[in-house]
Amino acid sequence: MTDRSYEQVSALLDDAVHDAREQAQHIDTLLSDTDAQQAWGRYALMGRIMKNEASAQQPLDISAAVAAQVAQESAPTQVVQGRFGKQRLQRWLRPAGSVAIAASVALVAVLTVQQTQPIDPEQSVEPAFATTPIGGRSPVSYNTVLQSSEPTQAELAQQRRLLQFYLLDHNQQLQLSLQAQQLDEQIQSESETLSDETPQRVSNGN
Amino acid sequence: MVTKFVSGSLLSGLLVMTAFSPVYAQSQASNSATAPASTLAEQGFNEMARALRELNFEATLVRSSGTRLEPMTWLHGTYSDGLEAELIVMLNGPDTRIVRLGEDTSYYFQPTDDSYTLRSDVTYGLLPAAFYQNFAALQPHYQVRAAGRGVRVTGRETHYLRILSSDNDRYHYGLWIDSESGMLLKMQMMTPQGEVLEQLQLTTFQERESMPISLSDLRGIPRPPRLHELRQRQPLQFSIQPQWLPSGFKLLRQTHRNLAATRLPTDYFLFSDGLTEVSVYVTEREAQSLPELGLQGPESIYNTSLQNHAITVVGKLPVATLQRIAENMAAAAPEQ
Repeated sequence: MTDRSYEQVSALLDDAVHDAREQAQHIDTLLSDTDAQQAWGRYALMGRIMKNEASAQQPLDISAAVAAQVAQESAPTQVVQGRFGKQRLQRWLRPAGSVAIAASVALVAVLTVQQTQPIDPEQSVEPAFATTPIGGRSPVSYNTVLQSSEPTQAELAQQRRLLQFYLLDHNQQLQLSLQAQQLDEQIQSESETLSDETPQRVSNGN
Repeated sequence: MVTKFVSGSLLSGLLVMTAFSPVYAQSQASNSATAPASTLAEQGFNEMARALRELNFEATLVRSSGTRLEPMTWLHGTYSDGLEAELIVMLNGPDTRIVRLGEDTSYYFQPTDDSYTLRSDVTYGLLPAAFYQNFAALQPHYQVRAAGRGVRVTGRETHYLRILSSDNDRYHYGLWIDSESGMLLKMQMMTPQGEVLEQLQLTTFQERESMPISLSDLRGIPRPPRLHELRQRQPLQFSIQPQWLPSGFKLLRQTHRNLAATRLPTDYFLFSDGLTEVSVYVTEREAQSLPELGLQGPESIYNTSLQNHAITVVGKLPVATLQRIAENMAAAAPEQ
C-alpha cells in the first residue's frame, strides 16, 4: 500500500473525488484491497473522533460480523438447473476456442467437390445424429471417375447432397452395427462357458 | 505332446524351440518358411492392440485426409478398478468431444445438443475397431508384414508394420509402432497402388505411470442419452442383391427401410471383412436420379443402375472394388 493509495482512500472518504470514473476506480481498488479497507476504517474512525461522534460501543469493523452472518445463512435452495447438466458439462467439454457452427453444417460442407457457391446452412437437412464424430471425408481426394452428361448447378448440388446422405447413412449404420456387435458379443460371452479359454491355434498357412 | 507328432529328422531342430515355446513350435511346424517374419509382425500388431487398451497416456495428434487437417488431443487411462477411460477432444471447428468409459462411448457436440451415447468399447472414427484386437481376427484376408526399423516418429524410435490385403481389393495400412511402449504413433491408409488417402500422426506422446489427472473426474460427468435401435427388420422389397464381394466379407445386416434424410425406400446391406465395411443400397432409379458415378477417397462411393433400380455402394474400399460389387448385383436366386 503506497502513500498514493492512502491519499486515494482519504479523498474517497472525504468525497473529494469529483470525476465519476476515477471515483469508481478508487472504489474498485478499495474493494479488492484489504489494506485499503483497514485504512478506510481507521480514517473514518479518526474523522468521527475529530467530530466527537465516536462511541466506544460501536464495533470498529463490521465487515467480519457481516461475513460471519452470511456464512450462517443456509445455502440457496432454489437454483434453476440448466438443461442436461450443461453447466457441468461445459466445465469439461468446453475447448479453448469454440466455434459456433452446427455439426451438421460442417458435415454438409464436406462434399464441396466442384461447388462454387457455399451451401446455405438453412437448406441443409440436419442429420438425425451426427455420424462422423471424428472428421469426415475429404472432398479433394475424390476424382470423378465417370460422369455421363453435363448437369446444371442445381442438379449438381442436389446430387452432392444425395451422395452426402449416403455417406452419412453409411457412417450411422457402422456405429449402430458396432453397438449391435458389442451387444451380441455380450450375450454370447454370457452364455459361453469357460471352455473357450483354452487357446486354439488354427493354421492359416495355406 | 508336440514332439510326439514330429518325425525323427526334424526332432533335433524342433526340440530346441519346444523348450522355449511349445505353441510357437507348433505353428512353425504347420506353417511355411515365412512364418517367423509374419509371426514377429503379428506380435508387433498384437502389442499395439494391447497398448491401445492398457497404456496411460496423453497425446496430441493430427489427422489429415486430402487438404483437411484435424488436430485433437487424445487421453487414455485405466482407473484403479480397471475401468478404461478415453477422452478425445477435437481442437478445430465444431466442439466435439468423445468420452469413453469402458463400453459406453458418449459423443458430445456443442453448441448443438444432439449428443448421444453408444454401447461400444472402441471409439468410433479414430482407428478401425480391428486395431484393438489380435491380428488373428483379420487373417487370412489381410497379412501383416514387419518392415524392420521405422523412421523416427514424434522423436521416438519405431518399427514399421504394413497391413496388406491378400487381393488388391482393399486399402492397405502402414503403421509406425513405438519400439518402447508398443503405441501406434503414425498411421497411413493407402490404395493398393500406394496413394496415401488418410494419415494420422501423433505430435506429442507422453506415457504416464497412472491415469492422466484430467481423466480422473470423467466418471462424474453426465452422459447423454443412449441410442437404441429398433430390432425389428423389414423384409427386402427389391429383387436385386449383391452376388459378389471380396473374399472374407460377411453380411452383418440386411433390411428394407426409408433412408433418414431422403425418405427413399431402400433395401440395405452391410458387409464387413473385420477391418472395413461396405454398404449397399438398392432403390428405385426414378426416385433417386443420380448419374452413374464413382468417387474414390478415404470413403469411396459408386452409383449405377440396373434395370429399374439404382445401386449405390459406399465404403472404405477402392472405387474399383465398389464398382465390381455394384456390377455383380443380380436378381437373387430363388430359394430352393
